[in-house]
Amino acid sequence: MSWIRWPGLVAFAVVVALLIAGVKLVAPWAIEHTIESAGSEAAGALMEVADVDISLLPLGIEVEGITVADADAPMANAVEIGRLAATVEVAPLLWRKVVVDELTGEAIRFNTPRERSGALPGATAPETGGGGEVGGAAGPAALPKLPTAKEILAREHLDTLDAAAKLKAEVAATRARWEERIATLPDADKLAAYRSRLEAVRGRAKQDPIGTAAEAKRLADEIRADAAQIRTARADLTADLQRLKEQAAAVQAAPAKDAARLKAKYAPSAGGLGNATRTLLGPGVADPIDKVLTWYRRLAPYLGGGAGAKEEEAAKPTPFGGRNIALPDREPLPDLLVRTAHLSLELDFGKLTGEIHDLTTDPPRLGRPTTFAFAGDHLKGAEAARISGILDHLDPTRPRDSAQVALEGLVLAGCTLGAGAMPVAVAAGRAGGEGHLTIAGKQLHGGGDAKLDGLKLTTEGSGEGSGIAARALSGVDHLALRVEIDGTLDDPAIRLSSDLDRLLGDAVGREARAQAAKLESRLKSAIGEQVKGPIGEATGGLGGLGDLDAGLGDRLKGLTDLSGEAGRAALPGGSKRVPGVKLPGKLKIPGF
Amino acid sequence: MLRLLAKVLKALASEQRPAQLALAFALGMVAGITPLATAHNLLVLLLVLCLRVNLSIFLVGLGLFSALGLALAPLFHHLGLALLTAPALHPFWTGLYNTVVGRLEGVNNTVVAGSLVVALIALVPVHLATIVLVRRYRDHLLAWVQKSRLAQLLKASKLWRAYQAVARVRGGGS
Repeated sequence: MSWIRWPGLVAFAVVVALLIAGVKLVAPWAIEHTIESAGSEAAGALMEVADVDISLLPLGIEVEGITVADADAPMANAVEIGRLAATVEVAPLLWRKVVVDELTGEAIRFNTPRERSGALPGATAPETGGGGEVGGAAGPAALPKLPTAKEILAREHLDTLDAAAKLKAEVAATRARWEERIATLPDADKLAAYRSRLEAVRGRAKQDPIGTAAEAKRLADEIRADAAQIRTARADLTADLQRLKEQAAAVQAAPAKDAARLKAKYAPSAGGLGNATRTLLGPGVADPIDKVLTWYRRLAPYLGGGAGAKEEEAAKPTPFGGRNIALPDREPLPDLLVRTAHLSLELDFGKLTGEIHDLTTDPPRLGRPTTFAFAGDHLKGAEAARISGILDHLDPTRPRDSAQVALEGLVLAGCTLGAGAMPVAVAAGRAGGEGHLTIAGKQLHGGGDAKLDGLKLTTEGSGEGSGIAARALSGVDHLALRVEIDGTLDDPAIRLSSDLDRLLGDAVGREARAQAAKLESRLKSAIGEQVKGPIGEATGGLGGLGDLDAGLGDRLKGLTDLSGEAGRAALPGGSKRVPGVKLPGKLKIPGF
Repeated sequence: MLRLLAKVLKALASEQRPAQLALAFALGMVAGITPLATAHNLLVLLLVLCLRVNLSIFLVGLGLFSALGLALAPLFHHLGLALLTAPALHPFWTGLYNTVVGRLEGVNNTVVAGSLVVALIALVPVHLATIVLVRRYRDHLLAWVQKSRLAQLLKASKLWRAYQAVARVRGGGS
């Protein structure tokens, strides 16, 4: 009896064939489902696949009609791929590794329209934060519509009013203080009393000349002491008046200062025309950069590195019970590796073809960084374009990715620069330049220079500055643009500069200066009108203080005159005094 | 169950070599004692289908040892763990793990490794022991069994007659 049972061999072949047929039938559905669910999760928007087919010899997979919706604009596809075909190495599959030897991607397009929304169920409104802020500030180009002086004064506070109010209060306080102090000084009553005493002394002079001379001297001393008191007070009052007059002068000058301040704030200036570059050229430069960074942020977790993957694999539950022991791989392979991808990108300006090498989810295990390079010549919208770069995640703690871009002869005709009040249409022109971007961890560093030649620009806006800008732009036939990128991945800063600022600045600056002068004049007039009352009230109080000074002067004069009379009465025969002269009998009267 | 029992009794009473029956039982032991969905069991299936071994005996062996394997799984885990983590055996396991067969087999699993080692060690002894047992059965018990009430009942059943008819058409064998 033979040991071999041939029908059994056939049965085994049938079993194996059934298994293969099952795989062939089920695998496309499973792969399609996996791609759609994993892709949607990664993209944050709906990812759909039209068809999946697998081949067994050689093992390969072909996916058609891949669309990835834009999470920020669900009615558009961020990426659309006509066809992806991959040949998969069989042996690594036994290691549970997917190694794609060669991947071909055709008809890869960006920003294509969708018929239905690609938003995921329950997805929140797209967040635009983290996008590049061009120049760090938004602002209209050229000359904005100026507010009237009345509108400005309605929303602005004037320093003049504060100063006038302060002066008014100061004058009132000073006046009150002086009125109080003057009330304590010798007044007309006291002067009258001195005069009565002097008349009495004179009346007794013939009977008692010696005694009355001494009394007249005492009287003269008292009067002079009072006069000195008033003199000191008057000097103090003069100082106060001087201080208040200086304050009043400052208040009088305050309206002009207010006008200058408000002019600086509201009037257009040539310096403010730096906005022109970022308003006109910003969207065209910042939007693509922002898109690239958004995709980078989404895909970065998959470019990282699988530190600890081996341990995680060992820790996974097994279908047989027990546990898996982590044994070393003799030839370490990442979980997913695309050795070479040949891709064809259909961009607005033409088709770029290129390759990506060593695209993997676990670069440290592979030991090589991912590199990519795309190029296209004689394109429909450009003479040439080159994009290349390295995604270096060999050290997952210090990833460093970089890319270089070069464009030649990019056709600009038909483009619209800027928006809002002053869109600028490009009737003709070409652009060329180079740029680079490095992302080290989350830190961005990049820049580039571009030249725009053969320009023919026309403005379409109706804003106040459009006419001026149109005249300036009509003479612009070439531009140099410089882009600088820094900041972080979450908060990128994109700075633009070009000689557009200077060109527009020269033209618009003159107009700006004229408008500024006009505004300043209007402001001065309006402010003057507004502060006239308060200033008048504040400075008017100074006159009252002058009256006090005059009153003190009268008192001083009365006392001085009376003290002279008293001094003379103290002399024998009522002779005129000679100040500082020694009198007979060693009598000396100081001050006389 | 009755049908399987009848088939087993018939196989034991047939002219099939004891080695063929014993090989079926031993292969059943390998497939039963180790986790079923492992690569080596595809080889076992190939051998069972292609070699002229008795399928009924194989199924009996598979059933018996599956139950045994389930009961002994913790033991296999500890044995596998000891073997896989033994420093002296590390190069062997690493080498095996880095082969297609090793990956397909999942040898780094403690239960797979432990049960497979036990199955491979037991394969030849079980085979030889089964040969001896079949011979002894045929020499000492076959006549008694055939006369027993159980055998008479089985032979009298419609099932047995139908089976005999099919077996005759096939020309006997398994």
